[in-house]
Amino acid sequence: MNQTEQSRAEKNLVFWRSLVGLDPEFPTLSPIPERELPSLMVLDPGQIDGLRSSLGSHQLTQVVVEPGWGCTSLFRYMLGEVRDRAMERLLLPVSIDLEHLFRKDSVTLDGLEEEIKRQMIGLLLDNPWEQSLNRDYYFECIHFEYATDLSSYKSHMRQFLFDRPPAFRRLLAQFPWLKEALPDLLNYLLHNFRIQTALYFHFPRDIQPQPLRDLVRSIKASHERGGVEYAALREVYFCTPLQKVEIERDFQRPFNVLRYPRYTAAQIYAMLLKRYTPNVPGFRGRNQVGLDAVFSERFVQDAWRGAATLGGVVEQVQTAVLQRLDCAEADVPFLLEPVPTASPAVAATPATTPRKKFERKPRTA
Amino acid sequence: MPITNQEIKRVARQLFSSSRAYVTPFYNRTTSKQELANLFADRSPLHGGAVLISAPMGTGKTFFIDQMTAVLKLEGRAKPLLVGEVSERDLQQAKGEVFFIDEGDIKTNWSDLDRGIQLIGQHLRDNQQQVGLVLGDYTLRNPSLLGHLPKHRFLQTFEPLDRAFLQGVIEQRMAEYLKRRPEEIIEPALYDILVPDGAAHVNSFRAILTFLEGLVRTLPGDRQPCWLTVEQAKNYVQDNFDPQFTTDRQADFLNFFLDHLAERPDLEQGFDQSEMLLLGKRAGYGDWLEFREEIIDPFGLQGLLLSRGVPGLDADGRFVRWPGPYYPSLMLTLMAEG
Repeated sequence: MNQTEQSRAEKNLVFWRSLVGLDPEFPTLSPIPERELPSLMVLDPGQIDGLRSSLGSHQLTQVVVEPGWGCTSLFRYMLGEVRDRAMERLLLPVSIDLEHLFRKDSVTLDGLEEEIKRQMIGLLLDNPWEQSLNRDYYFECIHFEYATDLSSYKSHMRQFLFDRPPAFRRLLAQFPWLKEALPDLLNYLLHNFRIQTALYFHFPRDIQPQPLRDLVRSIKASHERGGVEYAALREVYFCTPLQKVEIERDFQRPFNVLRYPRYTAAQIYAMLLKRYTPNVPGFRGRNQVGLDAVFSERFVQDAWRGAATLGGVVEQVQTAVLQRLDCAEADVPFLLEPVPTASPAVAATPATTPRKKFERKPRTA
Repeated sequence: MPITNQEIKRVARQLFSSSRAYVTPFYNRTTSKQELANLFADRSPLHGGAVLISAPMGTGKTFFIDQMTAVLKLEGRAKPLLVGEVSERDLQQAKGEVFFIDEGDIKTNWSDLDRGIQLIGQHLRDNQQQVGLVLGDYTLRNPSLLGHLPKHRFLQTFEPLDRAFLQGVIEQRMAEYLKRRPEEIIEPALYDILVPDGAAHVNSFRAILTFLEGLVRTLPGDRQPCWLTVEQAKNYVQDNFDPQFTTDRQADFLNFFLDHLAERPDLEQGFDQSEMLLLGKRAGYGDWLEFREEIIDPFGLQGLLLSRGVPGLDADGRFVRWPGPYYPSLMLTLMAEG
């Protein structure tokens, strides 16, 4: 497509979007905001139940997702879910997301433990644990001395969690309980409250191996400083297959490994359906209809066959849409369907995946 | 009465634990204990220098030192010192005559290792009454790192993990956690694969115990006698073996390597660089550089190849984490059996 054709197609795309009442972002799938994750994520209930069950019944879990197939969203969804149910499950879910943490500094033992402690106290403040836990022990953790109203106290103390840059000494001064070694804190929560702490790890897709090695070294050192009781801590790693190897190579442990599959074409189409609701002209003003009334599923099916990542699928859908709209404005249809010739040859699976598993060949002479 | 699958599954976490989540009993290493005790009986020759324990990751170095704190008169470890993260301030705060510093290994990048050992060396020069006890893998044997230390001594007898050692550990733990007379649960031929005598210097407790825990998870929870066999281990590996390859040549090489392994039972010397490259040539690799980038590094990174060499910088200033001689991982050994 040359520049003139491109601009004609793009102009038609703007025209078509306004005709069917679609957002200018269509058909992109930008990251879902935190609060909308539960409503917009498209999940396979069977897979999610498997995840929930493993996270509930294993101390060490690796959730392995092929790079570019929604690991970040899955991580945020699962973390959000477990945070919403922290009190019900007696769990403190701490997020160690290297997409946001330790971006400028290396991961160190001190840095990791400080972050864990900061989030632990934050989670203790954020939930009304005083309703269910032994108050004396709980108040010791959050350093509450009955001097003020509890909710005002909590609001006041939350400010120390968000010091930028983080001022851990200031936090320690406010919460002396945190001065204990991390294993003692974890054991304290387990012994006195039956609360388990869960570390949820997530890494950017393109992370270099060294930060992962630094993280593994810090985790190992933290364990070896002694005495984290088995039931006091869970670890969940959301990672790609290569990151999985990096995590377990130098500190082998009996992980329960769950492989989360790629989205199917139908799931990706369902994502578009959930994100975009056309607002088409109606008898009185405009009416909301399903995306399928204006946009064919075949765009996604064709793109899914040729793309290696979710982002790649979206890119290919965009290309195919522009290809279809490369026509005179008078020929722009209401219901958009791919150009028949533009469809790649039908294949049963995506062109680049699933990754080929190693095959042991019969021994040669 | 034989030990049942049900019984083993119930105590598998404790039985095969390789972390401090469970306080497992200590076994063996009497010679090392004695050597270390003798070494520290008269500390004056050690003052201002380092004692190094250099063995592969997962062989129980930290656990060993935990057992020796009284003998070594180590102060409490409120804050662990790590070679790659240590600062001068940390060292100044290290109390006692002996300070202990861990993780001098390939998890850390070279510049941090080098900086850490330099700091330790400088601290020992300035504090002639102290002794540094440094733990790490074979990286600690690198002459360039050792050059930073005013003086050093290696612990000579850190017993490698051989068959008798593993058998003893498992028996002792069975007695501890099952509260009954231990019975053998591992087929002798599987021991030969788990702890090949020729590869005793690269065998890792953590790798083997984690493997055994995974294998036990696949057993039914019934009252049949527990008997872990080579066949089960092979099936387990075939179900879980999933190397990450970017080229077809890597898979071809692995097939050649597995064939070669099956034909060469003696692993005493490991595989040297030329032997590896010779196999690589069958898969179409021309020179060492290309072979290293496509096979040695990715295979090392994925834990498929183990190394007994001394990691260090190469001529281009690159940190070579997996220098020869090479040994196959447990997974590869079992794949070769299949």
